[in-house]
Amino acid sequence: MKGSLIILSFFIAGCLVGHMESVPSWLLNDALSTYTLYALLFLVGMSIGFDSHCWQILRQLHLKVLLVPTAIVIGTAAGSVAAWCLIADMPLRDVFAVGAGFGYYSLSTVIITNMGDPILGSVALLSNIIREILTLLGTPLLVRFFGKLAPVASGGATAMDTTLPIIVKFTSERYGIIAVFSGMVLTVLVPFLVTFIMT
Amino acid sequence: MLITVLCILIGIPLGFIFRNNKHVVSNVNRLTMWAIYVLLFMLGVTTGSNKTIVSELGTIGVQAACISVFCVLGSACAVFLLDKLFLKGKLDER
Repeated sequence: MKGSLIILSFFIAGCLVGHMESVPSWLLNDALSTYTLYALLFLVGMSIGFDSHCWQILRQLHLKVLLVPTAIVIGTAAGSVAAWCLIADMPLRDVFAVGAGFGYYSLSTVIITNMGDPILGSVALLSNIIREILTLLGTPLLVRFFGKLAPVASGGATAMDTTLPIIVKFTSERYGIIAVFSGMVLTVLVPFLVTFIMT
Repeated sequence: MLITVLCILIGIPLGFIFRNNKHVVSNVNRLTMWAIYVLLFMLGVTTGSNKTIVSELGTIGVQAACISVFCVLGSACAVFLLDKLFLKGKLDER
């Protein structure tokens, strides 16, 4: 929990800095976060390599691993319908499009904004950021109530990169492999699904 | 996408080579946390500097939070059922 609070305070500090009148331009440069992400992924790769037995799991499971991203897509769609019932003043299509970002906020936001709906794009950005933050902060709770696959589902497309370290920390390297696989499938799906829903 | 996967793939053999070196393992864990901190900070900067989001934070925020909470719960329930009905704990087997 302490770790999650530190993460949250870094995010809030970032919000405050970003809201200042004069934001240092190097902070708004995408390159810094991109390269940090690459470094993070490399480190995550190393921690997967530390566990020499974890490859057996993928060999044992075969096609069953594909069920994980499939279930996540279905569950997210069901969740979108529930959210639509509650929000009321938003078309179901828009809710589906936001949900289909699976936490991949940069891509889903760009696609939705480019398809002519910048406000919905902002909703998608915020919603998918929140999904990522919920995963970063809520993984211990998700594991306790829904099992070790739950943070993989909650993380969605981010399960292969930003939320992967947290998932590995609270489950195991084995679930890290599943997370990378599931995250990759969902990452590839996001542009197709969002475009398909928006047209 | 390609670079993303490549970064992980380069790390795995290196991690395998250094798996018994406690010094490397602890440093990798520490650096991982710092990389997450930097990313979340940058995410905050992007959110805070977006004028549309800040000015309509009320409506947009409630809608966005509602969608993400239900998507998280929905997908968590789905994999919970998947594990209970189909996989039956097979992911934990050695």
